[in-house]
Order: sequence, then structure tokens, then C-alpha cells
Amino acid sequence: MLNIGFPGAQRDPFAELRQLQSQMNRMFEGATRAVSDRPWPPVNIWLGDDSVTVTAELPGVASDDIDLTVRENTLIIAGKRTAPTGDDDAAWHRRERPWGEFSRSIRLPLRVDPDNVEARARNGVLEIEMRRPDAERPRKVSVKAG
Amino acid sequence: MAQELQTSGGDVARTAARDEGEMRGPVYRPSTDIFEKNGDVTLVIDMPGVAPDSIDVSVENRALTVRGVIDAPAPEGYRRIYAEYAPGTFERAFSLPDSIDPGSIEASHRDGVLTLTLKQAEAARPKQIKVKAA
Repeated sequence: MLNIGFPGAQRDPFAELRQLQSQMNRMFEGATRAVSDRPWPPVNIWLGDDSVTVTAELPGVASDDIDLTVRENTLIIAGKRTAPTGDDDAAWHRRERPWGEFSRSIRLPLRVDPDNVEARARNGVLEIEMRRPDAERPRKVSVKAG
Repeated sequence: MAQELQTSGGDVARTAARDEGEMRGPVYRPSTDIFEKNGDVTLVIDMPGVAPDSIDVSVENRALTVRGVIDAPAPEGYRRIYAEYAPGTFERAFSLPDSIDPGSIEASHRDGVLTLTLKQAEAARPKQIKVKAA
């Protein structure tokens, strides 16, 4: 009530700040796709003749921060994804990228040889190629004519 | 304008692109972190599978658009038996606040993550005025 006709209202020192805030809010509007309920990282599984390949989307994780464990028919992809800034003074407008420690266990369609694993990372996609143990490879048996 | 941006930025997940002549598959909205410090804004955008030279960042009428085609060929000699992600295009639009200088945008790329640094326009920077003692 006391504000009515208050001369300072024309030059509100916070008006510009509020304007900036609303601009920022507009810049960052839009719905967020929920990802937290899905296992991370997302994977694709590929089957070859005597091998299986798992590809995983791991953007922002350096190769050194990825930990792979292979045992029988289980692959475990673990690691840590760091936040883009550790600065407490930074103001967050959007935080959609999950970060922190992750671990995912993937059941493979065949038993693999842990000593015969090859992993490559490219543009944030990890590819893990695993081979069947030699002893378990299917063998062709030729039939002799009697 | 803001409405238009909202539509192109929010409605794209798992929608096949039919208007473009080229085959680029479905369009996904990349997960993005945005933070601000001292008026400068940083956008961190997940674009796994996109090669740095195929990323397109453009600014038009204070609309910042980021686009990148996923290059994820099937491993040779393999067939896919299970899938949680698929090839396509990442695309998202942001509207720039007036306080940002559109000419100052810097882009870097590492491990499938695009980082854009947007500097505050000189005119929008708060100025310190010293008060002299009489």
C-alpha cells in the first residue's frame, strides 16, 4: 500500500536482474527427457560367428576412467563420470547429464575368454569385442563316406 | 519465436526426419548441462558417436542450433541382437539471451561431448563504479 506512487518504482534496481533471470529461464526452457530410471550406459549387443561385441554410449568418460571386467558370460562396465564443473559459484540452469560413479553388468549370449578381449573408444562410444574360448567353439565334423 | 524454438527443441526425440532429402534417421534431443558464471554461459552437450567434424553449430536471430549426425556403423561381421540406442541425428535449439555476444561462441569436443562457451556481451557486463571519498 505504501508503494503506491513511490517514486523509486520507476527505477527499480532489480528490474534488470529479473529481466535477465527471465531471459535465462526462457533460454533453458523445454521438457527434459528422464534418463535416471534407465540403466547407464545404454548398450547395444552384436553377435558374430565366434564372438560377441558390446557397444556402449559413454560420452564424457575418458578411456582411463573406464573399468571393464569380463567373466564367463558377464561383462561389467564401470567407471566415473565427472561433473562439467566443480565450481560452487556456478549457477546451474540445466542438469540433464548424469554424473558420478556407474556400474552396469551385462549378460552375454555366450561364454567368453577373458584373455581375448579388445576394447576401443571413439567419440564417446565404447566397443568391446569378446571371443568365445577356443575349447567351446563349434567344430565342423566331416562325414566320411563308408 | 520462443514457441517455435520450443517445438524444434523439445519435440524431436524418436521422430523420424522426413522433410530432409538425405537419410539421417531419427532425430534425438541430446542431454545438456548449462551453467553460468560471471555472466558467461557454458553448454555441455552429450553427442556420443558424432565425429567432431560433422557437428554443426549455427546462430541465427539469437537462436543457437546444434546438430550432429551419429556415425555408428555396425561392427563388421556382426548382427545386432539387442539395442538400447540407435543411429540418427542429435539436434537441439537454444535461444540466446540478449546478454550473450553471439560472435564470442567457442566450441570444443572431447569423448563425444560438445562444449560451447558463450561470453557475456561487453555492454552487458556489470561495471564497477568507484566512489571517491570527498
